[in-house]
Amino acid sequence: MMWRCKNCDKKWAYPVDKCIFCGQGVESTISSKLTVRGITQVFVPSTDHKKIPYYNLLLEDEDGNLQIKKTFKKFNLGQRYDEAIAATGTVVAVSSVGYSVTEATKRALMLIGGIKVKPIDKILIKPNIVLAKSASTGIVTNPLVVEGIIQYLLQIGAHKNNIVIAEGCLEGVDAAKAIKKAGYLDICLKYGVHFSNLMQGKFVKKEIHKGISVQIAEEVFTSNLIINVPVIKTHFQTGVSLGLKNMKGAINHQSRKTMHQSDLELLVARLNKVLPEYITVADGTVGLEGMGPAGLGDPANLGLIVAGKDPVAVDTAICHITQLKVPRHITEAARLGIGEGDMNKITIIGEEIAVVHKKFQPATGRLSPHPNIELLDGKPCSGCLNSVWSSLHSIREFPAEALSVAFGSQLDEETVSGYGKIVAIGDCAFRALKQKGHEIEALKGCPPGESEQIEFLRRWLKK
Amino acid sequence: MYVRGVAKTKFGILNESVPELAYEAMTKAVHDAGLPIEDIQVIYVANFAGGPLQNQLQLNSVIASLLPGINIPIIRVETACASAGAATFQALHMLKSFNNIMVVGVEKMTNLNIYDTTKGISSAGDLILDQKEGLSFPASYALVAQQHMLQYGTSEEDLALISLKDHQNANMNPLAHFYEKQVTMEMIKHSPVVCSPLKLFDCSPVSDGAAALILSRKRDSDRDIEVVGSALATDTISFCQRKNLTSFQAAKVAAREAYSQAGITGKQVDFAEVHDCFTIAEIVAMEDLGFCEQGQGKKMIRDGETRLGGRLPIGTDGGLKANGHPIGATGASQIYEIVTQLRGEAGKRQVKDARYGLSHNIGGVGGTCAVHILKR
Repeated sequence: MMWRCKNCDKKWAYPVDKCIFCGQGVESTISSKLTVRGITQVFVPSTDHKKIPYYNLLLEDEDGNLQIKKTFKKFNLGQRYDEAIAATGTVVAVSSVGYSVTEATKRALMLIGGIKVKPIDKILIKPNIVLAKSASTGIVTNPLVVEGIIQYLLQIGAHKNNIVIAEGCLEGVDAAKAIKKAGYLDICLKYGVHFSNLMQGKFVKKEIHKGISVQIAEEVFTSNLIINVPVIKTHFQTGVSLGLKNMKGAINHQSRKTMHQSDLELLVARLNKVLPEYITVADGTVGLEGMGPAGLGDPANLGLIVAGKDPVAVDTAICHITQLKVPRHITEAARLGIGEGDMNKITIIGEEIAVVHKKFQPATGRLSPHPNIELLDGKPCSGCLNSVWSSLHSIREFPAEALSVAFGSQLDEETVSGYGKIVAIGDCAFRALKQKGHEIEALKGCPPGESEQIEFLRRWLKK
Repeated sequence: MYVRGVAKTKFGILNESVPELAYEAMTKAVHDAGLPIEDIQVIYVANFAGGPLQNQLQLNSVIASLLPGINIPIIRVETACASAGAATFQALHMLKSFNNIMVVGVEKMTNLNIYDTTKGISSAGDLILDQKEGLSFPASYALVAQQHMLQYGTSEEDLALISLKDHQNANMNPLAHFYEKQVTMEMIKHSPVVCSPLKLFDCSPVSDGAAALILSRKRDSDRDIEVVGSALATDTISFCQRKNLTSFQAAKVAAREAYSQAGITGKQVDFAEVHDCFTIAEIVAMEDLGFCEQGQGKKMIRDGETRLGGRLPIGTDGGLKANGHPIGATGASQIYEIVTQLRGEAGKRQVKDARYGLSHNIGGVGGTCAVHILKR
């Protein structure tokens, strides 16, 4: 990737928008024909490159620009280095984010063979803006990835009036605040594209499993093209939250609760069975590892964009890149024929997984951010989950004797037995425990506000 | 402008800390200059790895702590391996305003494992374009060597001759990292590959050490050596913005300016300390400095012109290869050797009748180059 002044031919390896010498605009160029001009086999390990030997290739493009590439494959001097091999079957593109997220995103889209659109096509871009957080947290999709997609779409003929960034934030989250905080408002204003709050539009009811129906935003079915832009993160309930899981953000809040109260992983796969086809462009600029998908996880700098037209293949490839176990909702989606889940049948183009892989800490750990408060997991939906986490995080240094907080609707005797002092948060936990005859103090709400939760918990911690 | 005092510590795997190493070099340098420390008005401290390897930055204040009660300006300079060369360049400019300035280069590198050390040194390469791709400095210079071999027919044998010459010189330098290490051609040729085609004996070692210079505006004694050329130039940090790997533009530009100041050409240099962090770097330096035509460095090596007693001895202290390469100290150590030679105080490794000595101090893979020419 180089940036070149069209007027005075100065070149930069960094993204600059204007030539400092002549003041003219600068254009970016992506090298296509690369030839191996130099090779060294490296036997010196370092902290970030422990596995040796590997090769450093000196590559030269058709304009004489040089670049360095790490590889474990053997090449010969003078050999062509093709990033996008003529692949048949299922292809997943892995694009390393250099100095420009937008360019890396566009490269990923080119590697998968590009997209064809007409100006009249309605295009829905579905990032993950679950909470009002910045992308540096790894909780929400980096807006620069969406910006790269928009730039690409406009370049290939899409009309800005037909491009929509759409998301349904968590219940209780102010969507306007969330898109501003995450940087999407700026993108909308810069490119003249619209934001659609999927929770405020019409819904289409679809049965996704025996007797289980969900309400899916109608826009999903009226768009000509859907580009799903999840952020790569771990999830303590579903192992990972990638493309397949991100589409759950297009169903209404009640449907999300329905899914959480049942076999969530199965239903994520089943949901994708009734959705139209979509392209996945997964944001791995800053992902989330550990106790994802929100505040208890740790940002993980992966520096990759992973894209493909097969959602199962993309999610499967990401699990391999992050060395996380492929969870059931992905294998189930493969079984349902939604896509390819066998890595042996998936062709990776762009970067080598062996070069760019980064082990993510899985979402296995203590559920509670407070050292003395145990969370009793009744499979809460994301609304309660995130707000309770956030509340406990806020009072994590508040001294407390042992206390257990139950949340979610699936609170059986096994879950709650053996704990001393128990309180419940949320309507679901209150109802579940009441039905079982438990007389437990509860803070009702769906979910209750964080300030109410903090006040409630503090009161109990003092007792 | 003159170099009035010089000093260096032993280079190698040392027990001393950064403050101890710096203090030893500083103390010896003011003694060599015959100046009380109170007469030093500014200090430049050259250091590279304090941040990435030692978690010790604000070295200027560490140096101030070695000089309690003297609240003079002290400034840290970092341009990777060219830090001391850049500090000297800066100090010489500041001599227009002050009478006596000290440059102290110091580095502590040997107390870490290979993984962290390699990563830390790699921080002198571009974060994304080089480091992310695993391009360490041995790998960078291996690519330079391969290109030089492809373009000019330079051979591994030529590189081995440089290594052997450097180790022979280091055996005459008690302060060298590899003093009294007996190295043979067989050992060099059969050493393990580090980054093909470079082998272990093509690489400078990871060393600890410090060196200090006292620079003065006026001449005080016959031992003072005049600085007749001082230049610094820069270039892109990564190969990605270069066209040519076999020549460093920063070195050519700095050399041209330094020669212009000194009123000489490369042919008039009597001996040189060049930045041979890897053996191939010595050949590239010889060609960039105009000691020979591009691609002809190998011939000078084969003809023995760069050995002690040859037409243009290079690396009389053992060079970075065998004297050692405590990164921040290297540029000052090179000038220490030039001054020692021009004073006629180099003992067994003395170059006879030398008038002009040149130091060539590179940062990164030609991202920075400082060239100094000193005259007896």
